Amino acid sequence: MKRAGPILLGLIVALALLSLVWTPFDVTTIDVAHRLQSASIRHWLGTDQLGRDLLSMLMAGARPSLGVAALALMVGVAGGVPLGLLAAARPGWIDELVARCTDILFAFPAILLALLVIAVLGPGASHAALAIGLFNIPVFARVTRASARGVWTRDFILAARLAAKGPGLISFEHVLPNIAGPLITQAGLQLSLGVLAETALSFLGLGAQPPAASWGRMVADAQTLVGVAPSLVLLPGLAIVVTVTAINLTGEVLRTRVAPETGL
Amino acid sequence: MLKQVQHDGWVVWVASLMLALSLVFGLALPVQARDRIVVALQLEPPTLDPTSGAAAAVKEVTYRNIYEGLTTLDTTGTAVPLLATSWTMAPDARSYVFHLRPGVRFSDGTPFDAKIVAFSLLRAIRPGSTNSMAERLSEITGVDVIDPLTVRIRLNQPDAGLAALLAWGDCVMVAPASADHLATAPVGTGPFRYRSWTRGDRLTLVRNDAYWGAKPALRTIEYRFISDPAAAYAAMKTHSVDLFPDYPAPENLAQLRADPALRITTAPSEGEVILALNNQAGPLRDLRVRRAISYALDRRAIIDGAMFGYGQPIGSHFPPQNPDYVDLTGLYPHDPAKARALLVQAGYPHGLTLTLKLPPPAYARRSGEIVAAELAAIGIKAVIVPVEWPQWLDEVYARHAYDMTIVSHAEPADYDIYGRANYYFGYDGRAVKALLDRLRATTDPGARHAILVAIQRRIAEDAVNGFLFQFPHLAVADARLTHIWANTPLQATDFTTARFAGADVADRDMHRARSWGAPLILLFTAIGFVALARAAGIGWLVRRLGILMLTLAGASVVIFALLQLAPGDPAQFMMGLQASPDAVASLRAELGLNGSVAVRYLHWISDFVRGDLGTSYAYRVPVAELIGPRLALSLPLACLAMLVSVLLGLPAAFLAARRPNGWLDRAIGGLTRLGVAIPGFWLAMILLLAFAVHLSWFPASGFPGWQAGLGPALLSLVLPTLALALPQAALIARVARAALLTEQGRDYVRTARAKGVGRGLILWRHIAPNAAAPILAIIGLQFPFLLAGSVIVENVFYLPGLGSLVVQAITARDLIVVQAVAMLMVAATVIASFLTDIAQALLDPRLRGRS
Repeated sequence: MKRAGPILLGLIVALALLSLVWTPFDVTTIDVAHRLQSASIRHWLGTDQLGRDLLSMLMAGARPSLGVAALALMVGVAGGVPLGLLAAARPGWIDELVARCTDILFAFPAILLALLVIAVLGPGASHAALAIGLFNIPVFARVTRASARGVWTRDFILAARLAAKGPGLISFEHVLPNIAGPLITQAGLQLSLGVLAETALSFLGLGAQPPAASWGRMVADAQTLVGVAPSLVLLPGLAIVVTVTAINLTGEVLRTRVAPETGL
Repeated sequence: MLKQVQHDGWVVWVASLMLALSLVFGLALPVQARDRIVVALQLEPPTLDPTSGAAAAVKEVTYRNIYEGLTTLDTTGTAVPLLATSWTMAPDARSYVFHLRPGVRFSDGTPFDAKIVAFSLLRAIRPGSTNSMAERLSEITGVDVIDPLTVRIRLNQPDAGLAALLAWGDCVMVAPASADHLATAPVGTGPFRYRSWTRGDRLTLVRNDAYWGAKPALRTIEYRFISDPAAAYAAMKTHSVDLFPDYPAPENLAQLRADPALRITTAPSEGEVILALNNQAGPLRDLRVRRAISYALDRRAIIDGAMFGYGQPIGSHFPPQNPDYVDLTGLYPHDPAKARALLVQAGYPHGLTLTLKLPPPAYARRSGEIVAAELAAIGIKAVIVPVEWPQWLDEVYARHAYDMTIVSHAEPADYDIYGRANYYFGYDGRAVKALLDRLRATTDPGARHAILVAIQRRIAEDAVNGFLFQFPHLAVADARLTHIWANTPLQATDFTTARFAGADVADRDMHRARSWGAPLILLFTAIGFVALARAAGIGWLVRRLGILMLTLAGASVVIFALLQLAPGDPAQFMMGLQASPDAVASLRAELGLNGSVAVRYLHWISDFVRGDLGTSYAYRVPVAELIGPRLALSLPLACLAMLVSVLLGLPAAFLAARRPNGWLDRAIGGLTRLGVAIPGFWLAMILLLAFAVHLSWFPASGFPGWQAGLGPALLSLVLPTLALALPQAALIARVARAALLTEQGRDYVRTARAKGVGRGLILWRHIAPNAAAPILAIIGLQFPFLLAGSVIVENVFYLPGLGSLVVQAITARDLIVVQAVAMLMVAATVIASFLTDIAQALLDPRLRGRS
């Protein structure tokens, strides 16, 4: 059952990538005359309120959700991991500074920070990625610091220091590979949270903008049509649930491989 | 024996839940006679003073209800008597004599007479006036009081349309005694007077028993502000709103029509929806490019796609129901080939790229998508840029920094904007201005008609903008509501004669005076201090407190800095479309928006820590007053959700951990896996649609307030609580189970089992306390999560809580309010984690030494 996770995720990513070059119908073409049709041979899942093919929209909608979450993850890792390594390598005022800065970022409920950032930058997929990524940074900083501190007390680190290796080199060559386990675990978690955050922002209209398709916005646009065409609301939601579950299952599989002592 | 105790405990919980539910249902539905109407409006007025240059929403609520003018307009746009019984115009149209109605008083007792007329009109044109008609009214050179019921108005130029002009909501009669605080305490001569206003939620008017005219049948008008199409649908379906004069979701009308309890009426309005083009922006300077855009538009497709068929196509800036209208839709029929040919002629054979800035309303966003697709078909790439209203006013309206935009111009007879120099269209309107001047001086109806036709043609032939459609009034009302008149073209609903047919109509709200109990924050603080007394060491505690203060300070800097960077000027947003730059500048100074960033930050933070949260830009009331009622909803909601999530999550974790990998564990594992993957907004929507709209077990939107009684208030919180609590319960269950299982693998557990101690006892007595740390951590983080997660849930259920306040305030650039609410949420988060640390330290002495 758990192995279904990576397979499912792979399938979703493949469909998303495929939608870059081909979808059954063009998602930017509006065909109002054929709106709100139910499933048929031509449109396997029917059409939405502007006549766009629902299956194509679902495929294309995977792109912002996965893309933004992945980008936000990269922002978080690129910002948080070096900070955490720095804090662990140099206990003292640098450690305190990093800890206080992450405290400040942690003080913001995630969606509040995203709202404020998007108020400044304006809506859009890349801005959403930045906003969510900003919240990933303290998460990774904290995890990295906690795990790295544990590694720094070990003997082989002492040996490396005696060999006059600088703390930067030690962090990179020795500490980082040894904390890869918890980091990968955290990355899986943040990826699924990122997808949920992106869809929530899209639901509020602050994520990817038209004509780009996006699951959250599909749900928001179709809210009032649920009596007429419930699939317009149910299918994007199901897509989100399936994707997040796939990411979580993949994370569990990875966890049993890289960090077997933490079991969920 | 332990097993049996646990089994009984479960039953007790279920029984209590059932009891609570029945209590709540029992309290919820009394019957009351119906003299109260609930009206939903899309836009909330920022103030209640229509004479100070403000949004149309102000007039929608106050005109003809609270305030009245000398005249009003009938459906054909002709001036008819109101506070003036008759008038005569001098032959040169440069002076008028108005005869006033006797026996009229303001709602505070002030008598209405000629001196009031002089005061009101001269006030509108005084220097520094922010009245949006000030320029138009400046033709008045004097108002003479001939006797208490007669005035003469003298003009500096002929104006045949003065009587119609005085019908506008900006020209209503106000009294000197009350003129200074009309924005928050309006006083007028109308059939209703102001009662109360909960910002962002509802506004109440009550009958004026001293009204000079026919006494209204309704005693109370309650305005609610609902702009979201989904919330509007839910509100009408569950009959929590009686009238929606401008229903925002045309796609539902077919479904609502099928409901025999509702009546749908469509009426034409004065709103022209246009694709405004910046005639000064590069390619758009060329008439051929603008005409190409007009040829590319398929108005029927736009009306069908964005408005579901409601709306009339227009060819110029004039509404079809006006007697002087001429149909120019055939001037540029939908012809993509011709459009492309024109573009080639103009020198763009490979097409071009233009931005399309769209304000928030659904009609704009939806039309924008369709227009972009139609333009793409002829080679014009329209890049959609969604903007909030303050940004639109700043970027598009004030600075003309745009290519194309879509907006509805709702004022009647607003074609004069095409003659203004420097209007945001950037159109050289000298020809139109000449026609307008002639029109003003012409009194003969035949000649006026000819000039108006010429104006429409000129605007259309110059393809100044793309003319899309006339925005319809889509009114949805309770079928028992009768005698309501939509007084177009002035867009005010006349409630003077409205009534509900049939007596004893059931009313869902209750009116029992009851105040809500002690604030929970104080309770938490008290717990915190008690724990502190048993402290983990003073040094540790002081250090933690210091970090808490530092974090709050740092967060305040981040909040302030971010908001200074946000585009859009609060002063411009408050003044609205018609204000002069001087008026905006003086408002900026008044609000303290000038000055360096550092100085303003220090002012704000020093006031904040002393308890002065500032005054809202948008509403001009203390921020604390705005936040109070919101907190009274969001705090209990967050606490309830936390309670429910712990009550569901922890037992589930215990059950799962008792027999790892047993069938119960797997079942719970599957459910919780689903629970953490469900998006909160989707769950909220599904709960809403299933239990509120379909089954009608719970109200679909809104919060009646704690003063309406515990039952109805709690009832409206059930679904939002579940929407917030269920995903968190799943998370708690998973984390707690993991922590419990980790402990279960330890040696001391094996020892206990070897000694023969029962499974359940081990779980309770030994494992749980040791696993407490991570479990407490996740529970402690619930509170801020829930407070913030309420942003989404309040959006779906239309609750007037903290989350919706912060979204509204960000949208309106009400920076003071955003800063205050953000600080509040941050403080809640920081304090919650502080309390969690304390609790963990108390439970596990090993943690106390940690920094």
